[in-house]
Parts: sequence; C-alpha cells; structure tokens
Amino acid sequence: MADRSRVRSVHWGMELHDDAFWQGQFSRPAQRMGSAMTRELWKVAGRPGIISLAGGTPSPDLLPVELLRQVSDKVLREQGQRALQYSLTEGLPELREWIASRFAGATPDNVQITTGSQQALGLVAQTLLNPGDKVIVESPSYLGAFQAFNVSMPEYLAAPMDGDGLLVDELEPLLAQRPKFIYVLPNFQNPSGATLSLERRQKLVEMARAYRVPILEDDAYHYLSFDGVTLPTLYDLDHRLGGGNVIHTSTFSKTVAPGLRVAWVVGPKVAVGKICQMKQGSDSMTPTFSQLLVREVAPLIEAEFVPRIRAKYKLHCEVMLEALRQHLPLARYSVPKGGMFFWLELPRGINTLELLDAAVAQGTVFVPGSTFYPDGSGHHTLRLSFSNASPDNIRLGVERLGKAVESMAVTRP
Amino acid sequence: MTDFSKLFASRMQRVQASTIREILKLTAQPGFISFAGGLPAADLFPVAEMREASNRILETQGTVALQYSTTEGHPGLREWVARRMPGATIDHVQITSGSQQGLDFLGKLFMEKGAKIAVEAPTYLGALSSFNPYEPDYVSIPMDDEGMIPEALEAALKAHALRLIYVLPTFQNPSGRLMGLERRRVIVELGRKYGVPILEDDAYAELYFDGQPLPTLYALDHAQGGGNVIYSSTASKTLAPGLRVAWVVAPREVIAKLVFIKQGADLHTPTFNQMLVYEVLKDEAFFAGQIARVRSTYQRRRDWMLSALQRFMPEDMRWIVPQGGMFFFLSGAAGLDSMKLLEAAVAEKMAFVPGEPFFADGTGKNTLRLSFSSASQEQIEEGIKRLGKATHKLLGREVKE
Repeated sequence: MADRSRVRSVHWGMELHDDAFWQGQFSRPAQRMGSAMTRELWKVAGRPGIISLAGGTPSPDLLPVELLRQVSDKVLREQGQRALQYSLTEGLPELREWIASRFAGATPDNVQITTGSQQALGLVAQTLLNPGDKVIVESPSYLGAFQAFNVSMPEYLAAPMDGDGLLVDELEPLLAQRPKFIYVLPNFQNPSGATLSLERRQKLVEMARAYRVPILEDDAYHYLSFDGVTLPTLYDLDHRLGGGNVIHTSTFSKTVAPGLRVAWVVGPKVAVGKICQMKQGSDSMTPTFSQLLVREVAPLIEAEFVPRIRAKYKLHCEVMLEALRQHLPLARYSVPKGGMFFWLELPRGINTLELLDAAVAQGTVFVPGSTFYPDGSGHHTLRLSFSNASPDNIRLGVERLGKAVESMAVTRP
Repeated sequence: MTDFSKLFASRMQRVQASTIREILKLTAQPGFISFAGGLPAADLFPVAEMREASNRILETQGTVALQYSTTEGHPGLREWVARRMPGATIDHVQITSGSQQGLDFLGKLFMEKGAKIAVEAPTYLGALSSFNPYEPDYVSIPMDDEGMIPEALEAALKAHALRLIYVLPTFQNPSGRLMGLERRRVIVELGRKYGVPILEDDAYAELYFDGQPLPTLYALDHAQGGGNVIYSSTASKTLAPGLRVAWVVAPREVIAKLVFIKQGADLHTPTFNQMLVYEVLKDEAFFAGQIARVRSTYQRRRDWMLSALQRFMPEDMRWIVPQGGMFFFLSGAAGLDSMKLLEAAVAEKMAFVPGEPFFADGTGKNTLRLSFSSASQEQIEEGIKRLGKATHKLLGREVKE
C-alpha cells in the first residue's frame, strides 16, 4: 500500500480524485465523449517514416506563405491596434460584406464569421437541438460534424447515398419524423467524395421547404472541383424559391490557409442572430487579426489560389487512381471530380479497423470508414486523402496499403 | 418561410440579446464618454514586436504557422504556461481561443440542466453567458471586501451537491476585489474537504499595481496534494485580446475531456496566433517590461478615477479601491437603481455597466461597474463629473462641483 500511495502522488492529478469522481462531476454529453481511435490515429500519422493518407490537410506548398507575410506586415503596420483589439462577435464588417456579396440576396446581417467551419457546425447544433431531437445526416458523413453535434445529444437519422450523393427519393420517411435539420455536404463530400447532382439538389431543396425542415449546407470543398464546374449551392437554389430555409457554412481553410481558422455562416437573419448570441458565450469573437488577413487576400482567392489548388489536387488524384489500380485491385471506388478524398469499399470480410494495424506495420495510415457512419457500420470502408502527401508518397503509401490488405488476406483463416 | 423562432432549442431562452448592449450602442456618438467596455488599452499593445515576430515566423516556419495543428495547442506555449504553474507539465495544459472559450468548455464539461454551480455575487457576466446554454442552477455566494465569504460557501457545500465552484480571486471582474491569502487558503481547503473542484479564473493575474502577487488557488491546492483546482488565464490582458490565445491548466482527467470538446468546437486555436504569442512571451525581458508598462498605465488611470470619484460622487456611494485590474465597482444607497442611473448618465453623454447582470441571483440593483483601462485623464475627469451630475440629479440632490 505504501508503494502504491507513492506512485499515486507522482501523478498528482490523481491524488484527490480518481477517474470515477470526475465522471460523476461531468455532464452527460461529456461523459460519453471521446473516441480514442482517431486521436491515436493522428499520433501515429505524425511518426517519422509513416506516410499519412489520413488527414484532409492542404498540401503545404499551396499555402500562400510569402503573401501572408507581406499582408501581416501591412496589417500590423497600418492598423496594428485594431488587429490586436477585441472586435464584434458578428465578425469584421468588411469581411461580412465581402462574403455577403458572394451570395444572392444576402446582406452582411445574414453573415456570421466563425472560428473554422467546425465552430459553425457546433453553434448551429446548440442553437437548434434539444437532447433527443432528430437530425438527418448522410451515411457516411463528416466525422467532425458528429463531434460538433454530439454535445447537443441529437438522434441521427441516417440517409443513404450513392455516387451522386444523398438518395433524395428515400428521404421522405425520414422527413416525416420531424427532424430539426438536414446536414448535407453537397460538394466532394467528406468522406465519400460524392457530389450531389443538380437534379437531386433541386428536389432536396423543394422537399425540405415542403416539410419546413431547414438544411445545414456544409460547403467546405466548394472550390475544389478539378474541371472548374461548380453546381449551384443549396442556399442559392433555396433563394430562388423564396429563401429562408438553408443555413450555409463554408471556410477559408481549403482556399487560403486552415491555420488561420476563419470561416462563415450565411443564413436567415433570425437564425444568424441566435448563432451570434451563442458565439458570444463560446469564444466572444474570431480573432480580429486572422479576419483582417483573410479579408486582405480574399480578392485573390478565385483568380489566383483556386486554379493552383485545382491543378495540384487533380494531379494528386490521378496519381492515387493509378496507384490504386496497380496495388489495390480488390477495392471499389468512384473517381472523385474534386475535393481531397478517395472512398474505398473493400471486400466485406476485411475490417478496416484491423487493416489499420496492418497498414501501420507497413508504414502508412488512413481513416477507417466506420468512424464516418452515425451507426458505426461501414466496417469494410476507408477514406484515403490525396491532398497533403507528395505524388511520390501517394504512390508509396498506396503500395504499402496494398501490402497491408494482402497480409490480411494471407493471415485470414 | 421557415419560422426559426419555433425551431430554437430550449436553452436559447437563456441565451438572449442584452438590453444593456442595446443601450450601449448609443455610446458610439461623438462626445460620448464610456467606461462600460472592459477593453484593454490599445496603445499598450506590443504592435512592433508582433510585427517583427510575424515576419520571423512566416519567414522561417510559414507552412507550420498556416497549417492545421494539434488540438492541445502549440507545445512551446503549453510548456511556457506549465512552467509557471507548480507541479504542472505540458500534459496539464490546453490552449483555448480566449479564456471565454475555456469557460464555455468547462460549461460543456460540468454543467447540464439541474447541475448546481457556486458563483460569487457578483461574478463575471461573460462566464454566465458561457454557462447559461448548459442550463445550470447557480448558487450565489455573497462576498465581503476580501471576496467569497467562507461560511456562506460552506453552507452551500453542505446544502447542495455542487459540481463546481467558480471564483475570480484576483481583481475580480466586476468588483475589482482581491482575495486575501488567508481567504484563499480557506476556500481551497473547503473545496478539498467537500470534494468539489474549484474553477479559478485568473485573467487579471498580472495586473498588480503595488504589493506582491498572491499565490494562485491552483498553487495552494498543489501544496496540499493538488488535483482539485482548474485554472484559466489568458494573453488578452497582457499582450493583446485580438489574437484570442488563452489556456486552461487542469488535472489530466479534465484535460483529456477538454481536448475532445475543443476538437468538436473548433479543432484548434489558430496556429499562427499561438506562435505569435509564444514568440513574444518567451522573450522574458520584453514580457517583464510589457507587464510593467501595463501595470503603471492602469495604476495611473485608477488614481485619476479615484480622485474624480472622491470629488464628484455623493458621500454615500461606496467602492473598494482596486489594487489591480481594470475596474471600479460602485454601490449606491439602497434605493439607487443603476438601470435608471444609466439612462440619466446616457442623457449626460456618459455610460457604464449596471451591476445587476453580474449577480446570478438578481440582486445588485444599486451597483455599477466603471472601467478605467482605456480612458485618458481628461475623459476620466469629465466622465466621472457627468456621472456625479446624473447621480445627484437622480437622487434629487444638489450637484457637487
């Protein structure tokens, strides 16, 4: 016993309270929180020698480092005190104005700046959801959205998808259950890479209006189409029908730099007003300095940044496709038309959680697909990212993944 | 089309636009003098140092600064924070986007409908805004000149299963009070005795005017074995609030949950901003000079406000002379209604924040908060003169000249 107490005093945090004590103090959503798997995954992904095809992080050579150095210098020289001071919770007027100008019918009052679109998802959920409220999500859907929504303890209604996105025709029975909102990523969806067809977009917007169920449109990958074709947003299609039923969120993370954490919500004024009140208690405001930087470079996004990003990711995607054909003949996938991800289905007998261990042994990592399903299904699926790794590493990573799949097939009885 | 007001979650009833905020919108008029905001003085921001640091960082570590980074925060900055907290290591530190975010996270972590939280009366309004969406019940603990009254806290600890005790021991916002050393010890012991964690909000820690800094509740708890205090502080009051860089230091079990909450909330605090703050903080000589500048400037402004209050306010108006921080907190005669006084003051073109919203129990109608951090000597003189005039008029007394 004496030994034991000495050990405990080293971990001083354990001294007074054990884990069970803290669990008892925590709120119900906090008690449930925590999937250790993905956090462990990011740790492994950072190890030397590991080629990560896991994270959806932009390619480092696309980050406009020198331009932002000049812009930071200018902002701190010309309006340093303002850049370092508190500012309005709504966001900087000039940035809200610029964003509003990109959306038909929107004014700055329709725009709320957020600290990454991750924050937008959490704020919308907190504003709308009581515990047990229903939310329609695509199956699979963005993992980070579940983390943002779970705090508000919703019940998920999983909507099936195919290569053209959400199967809108199968939505009616879910809408009949009176969900609080429908969460959709219409462009180059994370994780599936699927893009919702124009016909389905129109139908989705009409059905949502008919059922008076708002849509939360997450359009983080808006600009990342390889061929430059961008379909109208759900926000825009809803606006053409009178508007007021779509809350749209997007970000500067994929076009300028994710490390700045600047994103936005565009939506009906009543909803945006409440989101703003919610944000006030959450983090007061998105950093003034970061917003000023983004506003300075915003005019260059479409003309300069986006063409470079598209060309690069298109190349990376082609390299990965070729490597998949060569090393993963068992996998089924659609070829993405934009974004950052390949979504793979392996033969049903292969559990990709187990495959991850084999892949780590070979020196590569991916994200197992079950983490993207609200019900934890999809055990034979996985997500590969081609945005961050170099073409050589993409080839090598996929080759290693191929070996990992082979090793599973061999060891399987 | 869609009537969103029917869709809002029930918690939104406790998340409302404040009427005071609406009144304070008037203060943007020319000639208006406002002591309402708690803004740090912008002329004290280390703009030149930040500019140099920003060039250095983007020249040498640009792709790191602009990329996603770990949820826990910048390792160098976490280590800097840990070094200042006895017994803490980098694993006890979570970086947040302003200490407001730390409060929101602790709300998410400890609060829900029916959860009971002890707060000082008055307490920081922004903390109530952070906690309200989680719908806790507040147990207000009365204060004397030294802070939270221990007997009252103990009675609350006996009467309720408290989840958390929220305290601002150093130059409290709004009251400006400094909790004495003996009082600190007693509060820490009570938390330990009843097994209720203490959340220590120490945003104003560095803003001492004279005297020696007192040990934090975190340090006093550590001396007794530790593990019962969660500590929150920020770079907003010493360097600059516009970067939104702050931190929570806590037992590992708490940090483990905060990391998940942070991941769901905004993934991480902007990488570049964390690097900027670290780059400036780690220059010890500069940082010491910076704090000294902030302290002496605020002290001077406190002195100006004190002398103006003595000249222009009615005899029965009470205040504690703050030994640091940014605020004077005034209590009037029992009949004084500071909402009415605000209307009268606005008519004289000056503004303050009425004290009532700082009281979770709805008391404090006769109190008000004045911030001296960003005002000039002339503004302070003239602003307090106007406040004195409005107060005397409201009370039906002769104006002091």
